[in-house]
Amino acid sequence: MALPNQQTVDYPSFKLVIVGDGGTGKTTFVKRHLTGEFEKKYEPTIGVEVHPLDFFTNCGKIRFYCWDTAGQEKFGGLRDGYYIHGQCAIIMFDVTARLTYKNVPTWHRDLCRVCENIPIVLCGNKVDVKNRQVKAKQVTFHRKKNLQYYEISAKSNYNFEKPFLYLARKLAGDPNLHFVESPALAPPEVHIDLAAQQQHEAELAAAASQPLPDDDDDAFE
Amino acid sequence: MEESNSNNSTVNNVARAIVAALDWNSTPDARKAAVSYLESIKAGDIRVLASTSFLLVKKDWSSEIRLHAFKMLQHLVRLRWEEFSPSERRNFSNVAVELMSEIADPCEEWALKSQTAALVAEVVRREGPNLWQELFLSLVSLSSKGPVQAELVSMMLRWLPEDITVHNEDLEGDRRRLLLRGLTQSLPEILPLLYTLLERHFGEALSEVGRQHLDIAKQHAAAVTATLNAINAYAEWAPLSDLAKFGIIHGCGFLLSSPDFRLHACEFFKLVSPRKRPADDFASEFDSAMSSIFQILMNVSREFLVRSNSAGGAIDESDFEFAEYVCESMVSLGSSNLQCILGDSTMSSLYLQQMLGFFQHFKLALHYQSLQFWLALMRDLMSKPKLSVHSSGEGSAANNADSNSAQVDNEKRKILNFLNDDICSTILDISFQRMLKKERLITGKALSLGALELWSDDFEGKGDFGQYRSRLFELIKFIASNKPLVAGAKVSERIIMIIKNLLNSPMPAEDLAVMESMQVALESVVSSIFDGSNEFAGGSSEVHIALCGIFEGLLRELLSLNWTEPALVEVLGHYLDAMGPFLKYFSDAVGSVINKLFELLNSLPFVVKDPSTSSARHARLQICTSFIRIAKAADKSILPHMKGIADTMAYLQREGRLLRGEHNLLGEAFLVMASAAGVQQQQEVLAWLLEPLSQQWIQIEWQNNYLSEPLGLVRLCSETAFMWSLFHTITFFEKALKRSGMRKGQSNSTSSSTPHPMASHLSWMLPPLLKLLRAIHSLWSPSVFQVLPGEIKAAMSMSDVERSSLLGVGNPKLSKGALTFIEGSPFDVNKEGYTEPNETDIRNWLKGIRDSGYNVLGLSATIGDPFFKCIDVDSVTLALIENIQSMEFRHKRQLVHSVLIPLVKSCPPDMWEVWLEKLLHPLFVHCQQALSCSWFGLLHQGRAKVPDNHGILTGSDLKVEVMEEKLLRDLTREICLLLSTISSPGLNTSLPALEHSGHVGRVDMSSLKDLDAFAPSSMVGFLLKHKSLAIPVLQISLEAFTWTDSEAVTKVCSFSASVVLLAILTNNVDLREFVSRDLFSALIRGLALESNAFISADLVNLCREIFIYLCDRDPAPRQILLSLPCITPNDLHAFEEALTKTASPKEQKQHMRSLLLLATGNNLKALAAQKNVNIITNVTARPRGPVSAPGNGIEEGDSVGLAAIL
Repeated sequence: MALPNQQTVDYPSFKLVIVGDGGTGKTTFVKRHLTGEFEKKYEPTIGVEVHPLDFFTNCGKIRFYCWDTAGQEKFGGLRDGYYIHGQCAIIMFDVTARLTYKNVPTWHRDLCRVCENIPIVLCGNKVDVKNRQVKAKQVTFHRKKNLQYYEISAKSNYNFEKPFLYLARKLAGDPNLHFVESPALAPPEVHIDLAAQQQHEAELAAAASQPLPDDDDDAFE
Repeated sequence: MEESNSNNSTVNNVARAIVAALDWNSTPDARKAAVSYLESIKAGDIRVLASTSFLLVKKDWSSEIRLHAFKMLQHLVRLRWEEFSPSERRNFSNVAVELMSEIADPCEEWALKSQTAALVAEVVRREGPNLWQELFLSLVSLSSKGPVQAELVSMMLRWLPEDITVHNEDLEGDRRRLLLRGLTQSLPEILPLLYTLLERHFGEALSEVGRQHLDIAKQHAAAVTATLNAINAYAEWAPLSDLAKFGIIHGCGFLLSSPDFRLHACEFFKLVSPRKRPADDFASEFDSAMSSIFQILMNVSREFLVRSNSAGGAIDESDFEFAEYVCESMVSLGSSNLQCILGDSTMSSLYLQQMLGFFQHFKLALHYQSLQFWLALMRDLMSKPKLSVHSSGEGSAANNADSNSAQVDNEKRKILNFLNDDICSTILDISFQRMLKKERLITGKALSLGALELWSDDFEGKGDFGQYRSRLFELIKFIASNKPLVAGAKVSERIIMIIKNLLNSPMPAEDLAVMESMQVALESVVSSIFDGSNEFAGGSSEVHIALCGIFEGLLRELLSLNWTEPALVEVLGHYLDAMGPFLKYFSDAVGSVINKLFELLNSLPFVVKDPSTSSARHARLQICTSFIRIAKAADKSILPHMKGIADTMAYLQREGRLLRGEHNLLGEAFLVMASAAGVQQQQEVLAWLLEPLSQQWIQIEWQNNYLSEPLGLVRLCSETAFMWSLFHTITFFEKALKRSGMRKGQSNSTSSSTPHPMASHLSWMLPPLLKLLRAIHSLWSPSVFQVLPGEIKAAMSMSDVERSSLLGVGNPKLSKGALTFIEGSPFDVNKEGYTEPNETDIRNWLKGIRDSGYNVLGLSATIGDPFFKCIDVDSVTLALIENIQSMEFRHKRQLVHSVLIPLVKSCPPDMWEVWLEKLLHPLFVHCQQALSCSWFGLLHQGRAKVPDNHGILTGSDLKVEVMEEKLLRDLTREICLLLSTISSPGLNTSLPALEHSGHVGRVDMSSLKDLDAFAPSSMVGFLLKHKSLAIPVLQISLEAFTWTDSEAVTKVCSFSASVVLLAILTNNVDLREFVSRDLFSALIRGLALESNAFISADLVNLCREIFIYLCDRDPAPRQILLSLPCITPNDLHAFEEALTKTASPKEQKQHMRSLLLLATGNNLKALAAQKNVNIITNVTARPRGPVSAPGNGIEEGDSVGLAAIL
């Protein structure tokens, strides 16, 4: 679909589709880049919003057109339509709501049936919240499907750039690509619990060395 | 299908609506209108829906429109299929299959091909195996028509199993099984087809490339990729023997050598490698298939390792990516299926060699993968064989177990034989080198690390360095206990080399990082060789002598070093204490080590004013802690040297060359030594160490002067030397209490007869401490706070460290010294007898006194009788609880944690009456109000109001919100922990467990007892008997179910279980009414929160117990259930019917759960969150639950709270 009112740019640009259950923080995440503001209020996205995000790499500027799609079923029903011609994707879930993680495989399936073999990042959002429901070690889906996984906190900017950097490297085919200047993020309002986060990351690494459970559901029964 | 005008206009309208809905420039209204129109079509006449959609998938329309039309067709098949007549279904199927051939066009988009295949898969899924049988032949013939057709068929063969084996939430169990069986039965047709497609199109792709027909070659390549993707949809579940028999393993193995397909092909191996051997007749076929997988991956690995070892330049990034995949599969193979190749010793040893090759590889990613394998292998090898049951003597089961375990042992022995000295040496070499991370190397060229890609903080997804390093240590330990001589020789050789390097280095500090990194390696090796059992590893006496020689040699090297640079001295001290376990067996060397440590201590200046000496101060403290570590490790070997150590300590102290903090540490080391010598010695040592402290401590003057009125404390805070002296005294009390407990093993025989060595000291230690704590607590009371000088007020607010730990940021300001010196306290490093204390000093002092003081009380309480009988409860209550109203949350939490919980645990039942009510009543009353108010604020106004003074003035800051929430959760969890402690089995010996077979109203009414009967030996009973305690506690327990904190609920749940039990077993009417009405409804309310999902099973069980045991004694449970929004009396009746039919608690729980879900209209999120409702595709129309607002973690939902339910 054409992008009316969207000036084309003379540097590489990619269509990035962001999917995941409603309320997982997709909009907050992309808006973080534009305004640097953390939106406290929650307004469900209707249909789709497209945000052009520019990043500066050692190989020059690149742009992601981020298609922020509605996660709410009641506004959805057409969402596969937004995936078409997607070149990369982010699947978001909320570590404080387990159902949003349980739905990840379905999001992944729907994406994979429209977009052929695109790089995908799985993001566990809201790791700043103190009452986490999905533990880092329970997150195993990405290992089965060779996705990259990041724990992020849109509220505190934690790991904000990581998903974009991973996708940029994959799309450019250059594992050494790096961002040369930080995008204009506002200073984080919340500092996430780095100690606890290190613990989660440690769990994650420990989990990475464990055999995969036969069925992801096991962790929840 | 007939086309009329109206049909035509519908088609156009739908197309327009799709465009409008997808156009992100549409106005919200236009978009909404479009969406609702499309929904009306989806829900409207099914024939219109079908014909419209079939028209819209045609080529004339845009991709977006066609894609959505496919989605509408899939929706129809999944949700409305039954509305068609059988003949219509048949027609529909035929049209769908025809679409597959129509769309098989090289110009079509991948997405549309994929959706066509998905549509056919959906139809098969609805129609089942019969249609599948029919369809399969036409698919085979379609696939033979060309590469694009083959690609489509492969897509269909991929989506079908995925939707049956993975995405099957919408299928009923029976239907799921039917489909799975059908699919499994057709594997002998599917797999050969996939193999054929793979072979055919790979061959074609190659020859078309040869003919320069690149476009056609691409089509064939796409077919190969699609086929590989399809194969991967079977790799996890199709029997391995089938995958072997039909050539799939072979085919994928072959493609590993093709640069274009190897990643996809390797995906297959990644999925099959961890497959578990079936227990059935196919085990041997499985083994042979696995063995061929080993062979295939080993060939690829060999090729890679040879290439990467010979010419570094010939390997690019994509080769490494592939090698990572291969290595990952090799790791799974070795970790799960090594037994399949153990019979072939050449292959087994080659496999281990290759894994060693990966371990040695300079690429961290490969090394890291392989580390997982070696660890898994060693863990498995070193785990003790399970003891088989011999006692019964006979029976085939026992024999089986024997032969099984014999077989396992045999396998282990085989593997151990392969693990020769060379392999172990190599693993150690690499591990030693890799214990350093890149960031630590200043020059980057220390020692000959070669080209090893060291750990770096930049690497992603591998956790932190500390965790990686501890894995290396684990591996080192395994090897050390298996090959002590090799490990001993290697470690000492490397250390001596590092020392030589250091000595010759112009900048020894540069190489310090390497030296430091090896210290823990030494510790690992020494502790695993010399520790654990009485006999150290190795067995024979020659080995012992050789080991002794090695470590004596190393020790000699260490002792001969004359380092004076503080950093080096510190590291040397650590090396010496790492040798502790060795000293336990070779006590001759103890004396020289002790002397060396004192020598090192004295070599460092103890002057305190100059900040440049702070590294020396730090090193001195570290040396003192080395004494503690050696005292622990060397055990009895050190006893002969106690006198000498004591003399030296006394001498240094007299000379003024030992600071208080250092003396405390050495004293602690002394206590550790004494505990190895027995109670008698312990008591003497304590007397020797405590006597000088008591002289100052018990003086009434300082107590009157500083503690009798609030401003006295203000004066104390200006007497720097004296205030820190008090601090050191209290921390030493703490150490003395910690270190003079009984050692394990001693306690059983002596605890009853011999009094605790500290018991006799409590009566003089505690009273001044209580006065001091009372004075500190009073600073927070509003009347005192008002008149305090500004500096003290400022000192009472949170420190940066506390703030950042609440906010979760790491603390950059904490120096290395402060981090490592946890044993004492972080701040006395720089505090002793110097300048005017400032705000920070006072804050640190207040915190230090509180930390240690609370610990002293808690530890004293664990001594038991002597504490509870000698200490006056009123003075304790005054000191701790008098100002509870003005205490901050963080302080209350600490008080409960460090004092009250140990006190409750240790209080003898005959003292409950005296102690518990006085202490706990004001605490519970206050905490109930405080928590209730703060949680109300958090849940309803988005902000927990807590009294803590965080020193941040701007009130609306998000930072403050996060800190407050954390403080609130911390205190909540602690109070709930106190409740669960009160209900712990040890404190409730008279509470029996409910019988596990409960029929409704089973407890015999005549057997009910008075609550008083339980009170003397059940603390929960005691609590409930005392109304003043019971009321606030029960209130907390009710409210906690609605606080969105799963940890707190878990704790409160165990307390509530005891309350329920007492309600069932006693005839207390108030209690029965409380449980039947208030608790029962609170539990249901709790189930409405998703945060309680983890504990939902326990909550349901409590509901079950209440209903089953109390519904005949109290009308409330029935009334409450009937008041739920979606229940009918019939439902309740049916539920009770069902209960009478089963005595199994598990089934009863199931019934309870179903009833609750039904009665609340599926609105219990704690239960719903576990259900498999997760269809998000466009094909569903089911509405999903509301989603909570982000940020504060509460589920506002739309009114599922009890307000709505009750």
